[in-house]
Amino acid sequence: MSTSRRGFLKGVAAGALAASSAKAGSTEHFSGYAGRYGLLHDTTLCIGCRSCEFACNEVNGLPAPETPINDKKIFSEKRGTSEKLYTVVNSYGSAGIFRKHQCMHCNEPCCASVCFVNAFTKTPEGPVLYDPDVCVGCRYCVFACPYYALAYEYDDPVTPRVVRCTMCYPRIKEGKIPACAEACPTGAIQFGRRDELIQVAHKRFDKYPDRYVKHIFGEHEWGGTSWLTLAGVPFEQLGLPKDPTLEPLPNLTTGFLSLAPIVAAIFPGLLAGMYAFTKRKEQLAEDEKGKLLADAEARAEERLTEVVQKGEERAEREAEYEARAAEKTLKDKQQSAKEGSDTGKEESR
Amino acid sequence: MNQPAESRTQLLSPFNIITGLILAFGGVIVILRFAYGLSYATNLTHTTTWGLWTGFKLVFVALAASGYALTTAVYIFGMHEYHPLVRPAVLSGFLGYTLFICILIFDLGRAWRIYYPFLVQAGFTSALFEIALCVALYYSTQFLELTPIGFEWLGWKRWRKVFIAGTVGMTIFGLLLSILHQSTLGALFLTVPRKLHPLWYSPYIPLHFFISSAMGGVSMVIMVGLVCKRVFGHKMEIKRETLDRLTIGLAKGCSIIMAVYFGVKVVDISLANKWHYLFSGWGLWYLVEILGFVLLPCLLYAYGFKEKRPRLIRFTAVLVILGVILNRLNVSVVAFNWQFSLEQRYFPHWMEYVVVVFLITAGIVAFRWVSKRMPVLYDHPDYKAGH
Amino acid sequence: MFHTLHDFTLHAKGLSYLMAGLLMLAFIPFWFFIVKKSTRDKKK
Repeated sequence: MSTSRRGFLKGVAAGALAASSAKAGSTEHFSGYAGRYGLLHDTTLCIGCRSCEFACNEVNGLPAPETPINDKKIFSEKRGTSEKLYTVVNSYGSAGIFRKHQCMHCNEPCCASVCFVNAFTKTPEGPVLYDPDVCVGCRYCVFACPYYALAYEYDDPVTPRVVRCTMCYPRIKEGKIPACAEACPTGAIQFGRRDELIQVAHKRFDKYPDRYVKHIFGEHEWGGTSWLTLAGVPFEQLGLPKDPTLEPLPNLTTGFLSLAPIVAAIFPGLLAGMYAFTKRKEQLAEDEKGKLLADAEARAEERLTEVVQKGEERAEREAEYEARAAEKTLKDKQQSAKEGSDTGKEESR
Repeated sequence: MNQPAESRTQLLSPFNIITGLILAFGGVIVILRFAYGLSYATNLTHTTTWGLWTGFKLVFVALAASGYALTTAVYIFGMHEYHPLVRPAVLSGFLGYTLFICILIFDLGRAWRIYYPFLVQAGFTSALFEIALCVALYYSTQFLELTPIGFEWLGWKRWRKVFIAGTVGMTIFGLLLSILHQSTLGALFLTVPRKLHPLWYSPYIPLHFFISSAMGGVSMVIMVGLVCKRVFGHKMEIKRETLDRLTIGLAKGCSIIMAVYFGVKVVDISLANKWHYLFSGWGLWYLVEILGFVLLPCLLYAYGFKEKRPRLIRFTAVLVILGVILNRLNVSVVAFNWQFSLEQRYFPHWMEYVVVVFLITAGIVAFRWVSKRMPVLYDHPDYKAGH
Repeated sequence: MFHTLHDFTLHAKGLSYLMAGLLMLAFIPFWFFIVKKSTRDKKK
């Protein structure tokens, strides 16, 4: 996938930025709590005895794993963490290389960033803790974890919890080390300060150059994890993600999510403005319609008065004409009557 | 328009019997789920913790977009000829969100704590927080938009007047909230780039979800409108010819939306250079979704608009709705954890299917109940002169 | 002082949600102020 190269370049750039300690708003670099603890898992030392599984279950009050330690048949299939198993050891490949899997206690945990009640906390000591007292059971954390490390108590109808490795936080607070590190007979699990463990790993690379792939998985991947893995084979062969980018996964969401308050700031004005424009268009159309109507009315009235006036004038003229014609007829009659009487007078003398 | 009380024979109609059985059976399953926990009624695993019910959470919200689509068209863009469809659209949208809330409650481990993000401790960094906030506000807004229907039914004139006055404001607020939560539902998947197949995963999932919600919502209005006319006949006030005219207009708009969606999807593939993924089993399935349920209905809508074919448009609406359902299920369940082997894969428990059918049936029954009694499909005689 | 990006984001986003809410609320009287004024002038 092309993201690996992109991710690498991004990582280099991010490293350069961090080195120059650019501190500008959202491009701030966070180095995490200083002196926090981590665990170094050297898979070249792991013999697959699964003592860590038994120790983990014991300190967490879980029943012991069903299959006993010496039974190698359990490795015929891959197991994942569950509500009964906060950590699992699996066998990979034909050579049978073992790797212990559990919550990686990331520096920038996905689970913490997706939880909508903020139930996860990255402690100064290193472990990521879960608070069951606020958990609503949405399981977005289980959904999001890129290492598939979280499990859920589906069987419990009343108090189901998200369950996972806690890096034995109570024990660390007491000054002890995690149960798995204590139980491991070969030193494949080493507990200590994360920065010191990185030095230990580099020393191992120098001392046994042919034994290891010269990379500490978890140092920078997806923002880095507390659990650091060493291996003699490529990490994706041990069930770890292939070519993770160096940018914390939460960043993929926060970019988009930042839009929410911005949209909330813009849209009332934008939409109210659109509504106002629509109303204005409607108003103008109404006004235009009204104006046209008024014009038509006015013209009609004008025409009417014109017609009425013309009709009046015509009637007047006709009346006058008739009056004159009547007058003339009268005059003619009078004239002829007068002439008639004159002739009559002459005849009678 | 007062409906007479249902007689005994009407109570035992085939519709009532079938839906009654589904509701009873589904109700029992729901009770069992809460009595015995999620493992009783679901096949959820630790590696696949969001299943069919999450898929349908997305479906119900996407199809409930009919509310914001119609109110925006009528009150912000001034397309008043669609006014008769506003109430059915908002009602079906409200019921869609109700179904969403129900299935969310079934899926949550501790549903009684659902108010915790607002009152106990808020996880502001979470996309789910934003969704919860926006849906809570939007649900309230939709409810307020629907209250005039109830007030008309009850005859409370003053209350009705108050709420009608706020229509434009509520529409604006509703559109803002819809844009936010429809897209953020897609953003839920941004954090799992490895788990979702590359053809469906994209930094632009939020945009895809929003556009497809618009086309789903409009298609729901088309389908609901035509189904109501068929079922309610004259009790639905709008005349057949008018409804057909509006349907044809909606098809035009939806065709444009779908063309835009298709274009965005094409650009999405080219931006990440994902072409080679199309030549695989998953690629074929993706093409079925994009070509059969997006491009094809887009063209059918355009043709139906041009040739004025309401029946073709109704068929196309069903196709679009199925396509939206397919898309949401693909993103959340089918193409999720795509690399898993058959043993690792999650397949829903039969009870999960029952609960989904139960909820859809409840939604239909509720819509029918409200529409028969309240002024949704017809104007209340007291308020005939444009409200 | 924020040690992790998560702490920073939690704080910044929380403030931003608050700002967005306040801005939306403030918009309502602002809108009415502008609209009422113009219609008043129009009516004159």
